[in-house]
Order: sequence, then structure tokens, then C-alpha cells
Amino acid sequence: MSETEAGELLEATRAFLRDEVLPQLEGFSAYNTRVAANNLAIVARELQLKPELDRLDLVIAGELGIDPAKGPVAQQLARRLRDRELALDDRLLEYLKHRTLKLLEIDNPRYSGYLQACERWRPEPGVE
Amino acid sequence: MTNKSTDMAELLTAALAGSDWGDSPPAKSAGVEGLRRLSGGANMETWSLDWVDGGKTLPLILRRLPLGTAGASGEAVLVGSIDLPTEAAVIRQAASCGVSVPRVVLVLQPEHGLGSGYIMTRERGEALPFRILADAKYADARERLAYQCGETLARIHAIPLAALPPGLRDLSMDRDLDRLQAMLDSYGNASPVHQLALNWLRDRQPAEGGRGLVHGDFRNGNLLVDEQGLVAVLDWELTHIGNPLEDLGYVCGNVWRFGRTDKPVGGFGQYEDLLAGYRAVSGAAPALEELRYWEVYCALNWGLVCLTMIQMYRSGQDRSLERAAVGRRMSESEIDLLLLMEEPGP
Repeated sequence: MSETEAGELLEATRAFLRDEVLPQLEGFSAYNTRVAANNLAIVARELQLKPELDRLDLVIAGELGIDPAKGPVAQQLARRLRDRELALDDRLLEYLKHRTLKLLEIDNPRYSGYLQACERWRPEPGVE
Repeated sequence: MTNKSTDMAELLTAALAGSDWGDSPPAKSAGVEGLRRLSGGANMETWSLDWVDGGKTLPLILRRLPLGTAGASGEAVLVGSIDLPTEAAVIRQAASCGVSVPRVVLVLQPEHGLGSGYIMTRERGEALPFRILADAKYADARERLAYQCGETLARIHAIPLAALPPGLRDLSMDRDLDRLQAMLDSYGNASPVHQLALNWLRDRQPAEGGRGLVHGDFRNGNLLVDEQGLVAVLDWELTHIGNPLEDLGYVCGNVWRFGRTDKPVGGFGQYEDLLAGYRAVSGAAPALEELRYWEVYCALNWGLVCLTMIQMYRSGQDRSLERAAVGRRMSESEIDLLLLMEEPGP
């Protein structure tokens, strides 16, 4: 048997907040407890999905000659776009869609914009 | 009630007793009751209280920065926000121009010992978006709200600039986009989608339009609503001078539709109703295509608000849970921006 995994600790804590603490609270404290439980759910999804996000970044970095050791790939891309050293093309747009979908899958998979994007870009977030 | 809030109730009683009540001065026994904190971050506080004078009860709201907190000497707390006395002055001016707003009863002065802020009437109504969008008793209100928002925005935009207090942000479009770029840079250029959106806004920048008072945060959540519709416009802290179309785009932002994507105006109404209400008061309304530019602007703006929240948390200025959590909503703006920029148009 292994020790309790990080995701299991998060889920147990979230269930405790939601099922045992929250019913005893009201008003601002209840609201904050709901926010706290949701934060734990975000962290749990990030633990699971961050490797996929990193892989997307590494692939585009390789294609565009970006050195990930020099800072976050997204930041380097943003600065190149700002300085107009990089123009938006189909491949970059595809990456941005993939990356943003993955972020939403972590942060808030119930967000209406995410659901719309999944619908519009299905099956692959290529270019319209 | 804790000792701390007892002291605060006494200070509030003294402040209100000494304020100008016209020809109906309060009785000696008048006082503040039912003081309770509603919400807010670590610094900005919102309180509910009742002014009880004989048999009469006046429900009130206090917005304040307590003494000794960042911003308490008067400077703004959120990037782009105005200080509380300026906010109170704008609300008073809006009221005198026929905009439905709470009545400002008292602007706090140093001798009140309560920090910086103001007290206004607590109007009856609902501001929680999910209740406004879901509760059956607001069904008629939902039918009218988009049109009423249009009417109200036209009134706000018609407020004479000369009547407004000094200190409101007033930038040309060029300078305003520079401001957004400076914010993205200062927050470390975290998002290529935000940068893409700012480039998009630069490349499609409209000719300088009209100038007017822009509410800056006019959306479902900052609108007090009853069964008949709009009761009062709240939360004026982001008000500034700019292109009035900003407000019309803002109220249609996807993040403020709360899941009702088929109802672009706040999740309760259609573009046509918003513009019809605007036209009824102002005599003219923009074309629908003009709004999309401002929807992109406002989606980027939401991303910047999220980044500002993260920054407030990281800097230690405001360590509240809410600040940290809102910071994580940045990706909502990114997906909305990608969807908006992809639609055919300008």
C-alpha cells in the first residue's frame, strides 16, 4: 500500500469542507468556504492535467525556436507577439486554442465560454 | 456584537447625528443598529446598518477603507479605481441627472474617525445574478432589464463632464491601449492570448468617438433589481471618462451572462432591446457591429482585473481568499477572447 496521494488528500479535505463545515455556516463564511472547496478542486485538476499543458508548451517552443529555460513559454510568446516579432498563423492559433482549453479544464470546466469553445471547435480546435 | 463593532456603531451614530438632515434633525435617542459586515476584500469594507430615529428606520450601507489600511488616506485601491469621496461625488451627480442610484447620505470626514468612505441608502432589491436570472418572481423584470439598461446608460453618458469631480481617468484611445499594455507588462506578460487581443484592439482601433462618463463596471451583479426591473446602479469605483460604447459592450460580456450565453445582455436580454432603450433616451445608438470591439476590450479588461487581484494577493496588500480565487479566473477571459476574435467582422 502506498501513502495517501496528494489528490486523495485534496478530495478528502474538499469533501470535509463541503459536507461537514459548509452546512454549519451562513453568509460570508459560507461563501468563502465554498470558494475554498473549489480552490482545492482546481488544485486537484491541475495536479492531473499540468503535464499535458507543459507538453503543449514544449512542442510549440520546439517549433518556434523558443528556449523554455529562458522563462515560461507563454510569457516568451506574449512578448514576441507584443513586439510584433511573431505573427498569428494557423499553427499558433491552434496552439493557443489547445492551451486555453486545457487551462479551462483545470480552472473552471463548467464555464460557459469553455462549453461554447468545446462545441465550436469539436473535434479538434483547428482553424475555422 | 463585539466591542470593536460597538465602538464603530458609536462612531457612526456620532457621524450621522452630526450630518445635515435638513428640516428633520434626528432625536437625541437616534442611533445606529444592526451593524454587520457584508463582504469585500481585506481592505475595502461594506457594512449594512440601520439609522433608527424614533419610530423611523433608514436602512443604510457604509463603504469604507478603515484607518491604517492601504488607501485609507484617499488613494485608490484597485488599479483604475477612484477614491471613495470621488465615487460619492459621482453618484450624487448621477442622481441629479436622473440615474437611479442610492442616495449618498454622508461622506466620511477625518474627524469621524472611521477612515475614508461614505454612507448611502440601502435600497430594496436583489443584486445576486443567479437569483435575478433564475427566480420566477423576476420574470417580468428580466423582460424589461435590457431596455432599462440601455435607457440608464444613455442617462449616465449624458451627464455633463463639467459637472463631475476632478480626478477621473480621462485618456485618449491610444493612451488607454498604452495603459493596458503597461499593465500586461507589469504583470509579467503571462498570457499570449491577452497580448493577441491587445494587438487586435490596436489594429482595429476606431476613430475617436464621443466622450462621456463611463460607469466602467456596468453589469449583472452591480445592478439592483426588483420585480419591476432596475432599481439602482451600484459599484461606481471604476468610473472614468472615455468612449461610452465601452459600457454597452461591457454589459454584454460573456462572463457577466452567468451561463446564459443566448441572452447577451447580462444573461437576461437581447442586444436589440439594449440599443432600443439607449436610442429612446439619447436619440441615437451604435450599430451592433460596433459593440463587438468593446466586447473584446471588456473581456481583456476582465483578464486584467483577475491579474490585478493576483497582484494584490502576492504583494500582501490583500491576502483574502477571494482575491486569490478570482485571480484564477483569468483563463475565462482568454477563452472568451479567442471566441470573440474568431467571429467574422471588423
